[in-house]
Amino acid sequence: MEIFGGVLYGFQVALQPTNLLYCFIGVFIGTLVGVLPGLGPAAAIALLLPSTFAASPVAAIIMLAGIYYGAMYGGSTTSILVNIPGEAASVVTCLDGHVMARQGRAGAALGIAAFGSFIAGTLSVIALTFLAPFLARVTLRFGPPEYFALMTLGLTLLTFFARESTVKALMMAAVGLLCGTVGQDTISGRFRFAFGIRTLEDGLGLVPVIMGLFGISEVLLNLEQREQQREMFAPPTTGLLPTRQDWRDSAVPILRGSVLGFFLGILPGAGAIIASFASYAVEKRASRHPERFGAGAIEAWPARRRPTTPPPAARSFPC
Amino acid sequence: MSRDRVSGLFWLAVALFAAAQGLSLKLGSLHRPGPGFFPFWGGVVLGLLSIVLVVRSPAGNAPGGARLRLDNAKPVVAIGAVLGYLLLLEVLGFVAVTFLFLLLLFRLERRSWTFSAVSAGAGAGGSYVLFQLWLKTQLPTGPLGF
Repeated sequence: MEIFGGVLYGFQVALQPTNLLYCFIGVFIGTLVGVLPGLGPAAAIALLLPSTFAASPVAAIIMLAGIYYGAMYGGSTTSILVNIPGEAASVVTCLDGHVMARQGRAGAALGIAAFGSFIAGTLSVIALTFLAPFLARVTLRFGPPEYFALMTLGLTLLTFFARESTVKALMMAAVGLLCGTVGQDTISGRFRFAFGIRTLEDGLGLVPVIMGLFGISEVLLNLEQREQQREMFAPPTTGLLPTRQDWRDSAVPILRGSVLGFFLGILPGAGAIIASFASYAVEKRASRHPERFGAGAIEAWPARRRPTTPPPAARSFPC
Repeated sequence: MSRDRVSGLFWLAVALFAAAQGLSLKLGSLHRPGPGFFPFWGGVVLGLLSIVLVVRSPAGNAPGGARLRLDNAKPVVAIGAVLGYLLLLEVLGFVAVTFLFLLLLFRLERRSWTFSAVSAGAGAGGSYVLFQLWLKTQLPTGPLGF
């Protein structure tokens, strides 16, 4: 029962008005920074760390947690509105979220992203509170074989994403693998594909690659189309609240995504990315209308938004 | 040639290059993979898949308009602009290059000179204020000091 005592004491501290204010400020500027393309939660925390120096330790940690959640959510905004993921884990948000925006439902997409993040975040914090000691033991036993299996799973999931050609999807997986080999080999220390260029010796960062891929292709697509063919968005002001039908469609995926995202998100390293992709694949499998995935299905895309949120909570303890 | 065939041939060339590089880096064994292990086998897989793509794609005049056409020079100019941006970034500094880059892109979209200049200035200046002044990111500086 001492755990409940701890929880109650935690609430007693966290619910003080000053701390709530710090939390609000953290979420607010976290969202602002998260919206900037390329700045994910980790970068946002690093940049905004100095702003917490004046606060007490507890308030500072509360504010940092707020920044993390805010940046996580902010990343989905650019994915939905301009199809450029702000960080690696929101790639999946682009797939259907942006399509929804094109259909003039950007408001509902943004709304369900916020609600889903909140629900999954809350659930994962509750789960973490009670399961942390047990999970810490399991995570420590997660060795190279398990990571290898997880990566293989990630590559296998690609076949779910291929909408037109499986061959092309697998080809791009191989290209991705090759891109991953650029830079210094971790075992032997030899440089691969660096061609004497200093920047390449560091390897290709995941975030720049993703942003370039989505951002530049979006620019090129726009340039290729004639002016009149270009789709314009209906303004997202038509209500940020999802409709009742949206809720019915996305309630179960949000819960499923929360559970999956919680367990996969605990893993250090690629946890959040794998979790978001795995959750998308699971939802596509479970859906009665798999053909709607990639075409603006609301249940598809909150599902994949969820898992990106649990990691902040889950992440904070392995380190 | 159909689009698929062109991209298949392109990736086949990339695959051959990667596999050759992998070979020259030492493959190692399955239990002790050397630095060339992943480049080589990644290249082999990519090569095989691109051959499949080339063979399966319809030759010559494919119906449905999935053909490579170069009647629109805009994408080429845009890619050239991105490359130029990278090359000039360290020379001219962030603000100047970003301004020129945005100006070119707006002009490419046939906006008026005034609109292009004002928007490009706002974009470059805004990014400077946001990243350099507020977030204290270190952006490349030009001869003028910004």
